[in-house]
Amino acid sequence: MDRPSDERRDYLIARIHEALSRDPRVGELELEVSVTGGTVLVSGTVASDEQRRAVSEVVEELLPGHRVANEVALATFPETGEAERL
Amino acid sequence: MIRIAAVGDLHFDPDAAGTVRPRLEHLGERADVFLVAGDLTRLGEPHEAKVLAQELEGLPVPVVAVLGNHDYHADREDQVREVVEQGGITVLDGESTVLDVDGTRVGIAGMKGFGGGFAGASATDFGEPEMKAFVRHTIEVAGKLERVLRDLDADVRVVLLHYSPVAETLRGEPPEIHAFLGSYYLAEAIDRAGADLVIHGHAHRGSERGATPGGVPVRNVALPVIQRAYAVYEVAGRRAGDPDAAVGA
Repeated sequence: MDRPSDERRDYLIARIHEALSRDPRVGELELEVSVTGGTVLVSGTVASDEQRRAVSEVVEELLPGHRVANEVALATFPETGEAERL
Repeated sequence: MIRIAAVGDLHFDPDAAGTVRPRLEHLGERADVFLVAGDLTRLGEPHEAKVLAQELEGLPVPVVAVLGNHDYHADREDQVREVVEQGGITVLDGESTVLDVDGTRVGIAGMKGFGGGFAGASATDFGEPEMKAFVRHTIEVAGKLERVLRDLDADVRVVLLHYSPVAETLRGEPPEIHAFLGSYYLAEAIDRAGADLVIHGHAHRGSERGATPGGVPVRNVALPVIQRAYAVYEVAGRRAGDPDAAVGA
């Protein structure tokens, strides 16, 4: 890929990050975003199913025609793990 | 031995209702205190805080929290704090609290903290007013933390933050954003005043374990980092004036 395309992709990733943090349906700063061709891959964790679905909505609204690979997981982890003695 | 359970970055809102409480079923058997390291809410709205307060109400151990950057987003952080406190949770903002755990005084100094970066890659109090204001805010809160910690008379001394005091627990985060995730000023304040354990959140892609340059253990308990409902740390504190005497059984 030539340099201008790389630069455009960087701007695109920055815009997606901005949208995912500022849109109140998502409101997350630490989701990981990558763009390959016409596919936007988003990963990370959120607190609810609604928020996870909103990730796809926000990206699709921002970039109509792009495919969204939504790999965001729910942050519902089990009550397990040994105590660490300090 | 004091058992400290901790988690950060719950990012709660009404859609998440019911997702946390079932995972705290054994908290009372495993821990003496439960610390929440900021980002209680997703957008900093009081109604989100209310849902979390209801979720954590009536737990068998004392709950102590600090706010995070998300809790400031709606500019309603005072109301967020008020709502959380109505649920029986102690919220610390440049303050401390001392809990009696079977005769051991467990002191917790808590605040959100702020960014600025780490040695060799930090913002400095120089240049434009905006940059100076950014760095001076960190210096101010770190100074406050040191004062609160110096005044904290307890057998076990824990610091509860949202931002990280060290870069070590940010491993996994892009280095370019470390300056937005914490500051060495916080670690310096902690090393000057002394503590047994530092808990923080904020860095979702970071690492759990680190230490200040002075050797105080630092643990990043952001939920995506610990990958469990809460982490538990066992701390043997020392009686004031008796540095060799471990506290508790």
